[in-house]
Amino acid sequence: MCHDQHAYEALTSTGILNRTLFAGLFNTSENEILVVNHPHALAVKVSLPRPSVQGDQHDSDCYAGQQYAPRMELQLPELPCA
Amino acid sequence: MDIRILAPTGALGAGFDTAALDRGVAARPHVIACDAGSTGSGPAALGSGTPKLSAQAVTRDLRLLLRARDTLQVPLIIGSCGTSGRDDGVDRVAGLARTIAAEDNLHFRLGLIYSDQPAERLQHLYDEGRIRPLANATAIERKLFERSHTVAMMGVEPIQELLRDGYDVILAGRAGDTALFAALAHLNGADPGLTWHMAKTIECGAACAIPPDANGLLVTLRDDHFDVTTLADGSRLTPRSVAAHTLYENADPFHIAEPSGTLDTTHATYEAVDERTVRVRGSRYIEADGYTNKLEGAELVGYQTVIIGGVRDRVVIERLPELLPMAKKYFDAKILDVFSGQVDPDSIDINYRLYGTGTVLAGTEPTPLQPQELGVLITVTAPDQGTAHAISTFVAHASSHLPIPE
Repeated sequence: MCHDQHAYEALTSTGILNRTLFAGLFNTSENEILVVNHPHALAVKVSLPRPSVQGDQHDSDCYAGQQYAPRMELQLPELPCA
Repeated sequence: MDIRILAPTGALGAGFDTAALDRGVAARPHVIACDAGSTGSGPAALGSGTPKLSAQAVTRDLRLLLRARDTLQVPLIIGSCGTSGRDDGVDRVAGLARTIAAEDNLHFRLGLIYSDQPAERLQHLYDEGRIRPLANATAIERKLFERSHTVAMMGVEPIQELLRDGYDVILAGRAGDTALFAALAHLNGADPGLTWHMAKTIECGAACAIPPDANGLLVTLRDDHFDVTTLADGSRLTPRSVAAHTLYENADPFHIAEPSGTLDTTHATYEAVDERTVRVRGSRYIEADGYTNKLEGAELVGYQTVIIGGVRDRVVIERLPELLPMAKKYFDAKILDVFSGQVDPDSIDINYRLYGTGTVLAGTEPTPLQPQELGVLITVTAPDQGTAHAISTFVAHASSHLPIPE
C-alpha cells in the first residue's frame, strides 16, 4: 500500500510490479501470479498459490502471512517527483 | 428501504468494548450477526472438535450479545460455531447459550443449523461428479471422505429459512462469514451487489477501521448505497480503509466468490460522510450458473510430541546439514531396536525445523541467512501419542548428546 496518491501513480506507472518479477522472486511460473492494482486502496495486491497446503504437517507459515518479507528489501527505481 | 445491521466483533470470543456495543444497540439495528469460526490457524479445530477460543471468552461475548438481542428483540445470528462449525461446535455454543439464558432469565427461540457432511453422502456426490477440487487444491479421492471430518460452508439460504420461521437466536455450523450479515437484507429483497459488499465490509468487525480494532461496525443499507460506521471510541473510517478491506482474505479484491455468485466491486465508489462513516455505491452481484458449497475437511495424520531447543555453537550450526541425515539413520535403527521391530520407522515422522536458516519461507529466501544462533523445533509424529512420546525421549536425548564426528 502506498502512502499517497502520487506515490501510487508513480509506482504503478513504472509497470515494474508485474508477473515476471514475482514469478522470479517466488520461483514459480508467471501463470501462477495474479497482480491487481487497487486505486481506491492505493494498493497493489500480488497473489500466488501456497507452497504447501495450509496447516499441513510440514507447513511452515500457517497464515501464509510472511512470504512478502524479503520483498521489503526490493529496490525500486527513483520515482518522479510530484 | 433502510436496514441496519450490527457486527459487534470480528469473532465471538475475541472480545469487544461494552461501550462500542452500546453505541451499536442505540442505533436500533434490525439484526446482530457475528462469526465464531476460523480456518486461519489450520485444520486442528475441525479435525479434533476442540475450539480455538475458550468457553469463558465465548460466554463473555455471547452473554452481552444475548442481552443486546433481548433489549432490541431482534435476531442474533452466529456462524461457524466452535471455530470449525462442526455439529458438536454448534451444540457446544448452544449449551453456553442455554446456560446464559437460565442464569440471566432470558427467553428466546433457539434455532440450530448443522453442516457436517457424512462420508456416504459425500461419496455419493463424488460418484455423481458433483465434487471437484478448488484451484490449486490437491486431488480428491473417494476414500478420503471416510478418513476425514468434513463440513460444508453454507450461504444465506438455511439462515433465511430460520429467520422466516421466527427464530430469535440462530447458531449455524460452518457458514460463509458474509452470509451471516447478508441473510436478513437478502431476505428483504435488498440490492444484491450492495448486500454482499456490505457483508464483506463488516464480516471481520472493525478490521477496516483506523486503527484496526476488535470492536464492531454498523451498516445502514438503503436502495442505492450503504453507510458503514465504526463504533469504538477513537476509531475512524476512511474511503481508503473501507476500499482496502476488499483486499482482505481474497486474491482478487474486485471479484469475490460466494456460493450463489460473485460480488463485483470494480465500479464501487467510496465517499466520506464523516470521520466515522463511509458511503459505498456501485457494487454489483453476478449470479453464478450453479450453486456451489465449499467443503472443508480434516484428516488425522497422527499424534505429535514436540521438542524445543537452541544452538549457539558456530561449528554445530554449520555442520547440521550433514548431521541431520546421520541422526535420521540413527533414529530409524533405534526405533527398530527399542520397539523390537513392532514400530515401522517409515510410520514415524521426525522433522527438524531450524529457525534462523530460512525455515519460515521454506525455500524462497532470496539470499541464504547467516544465523549466529538457531531456534530448533523438533516434531515427532506417530500413529499414537504414546509412541510419539517414547520416540521423542531418545530424539531429545540424542539431539543434545550425540558427538560431532571430527
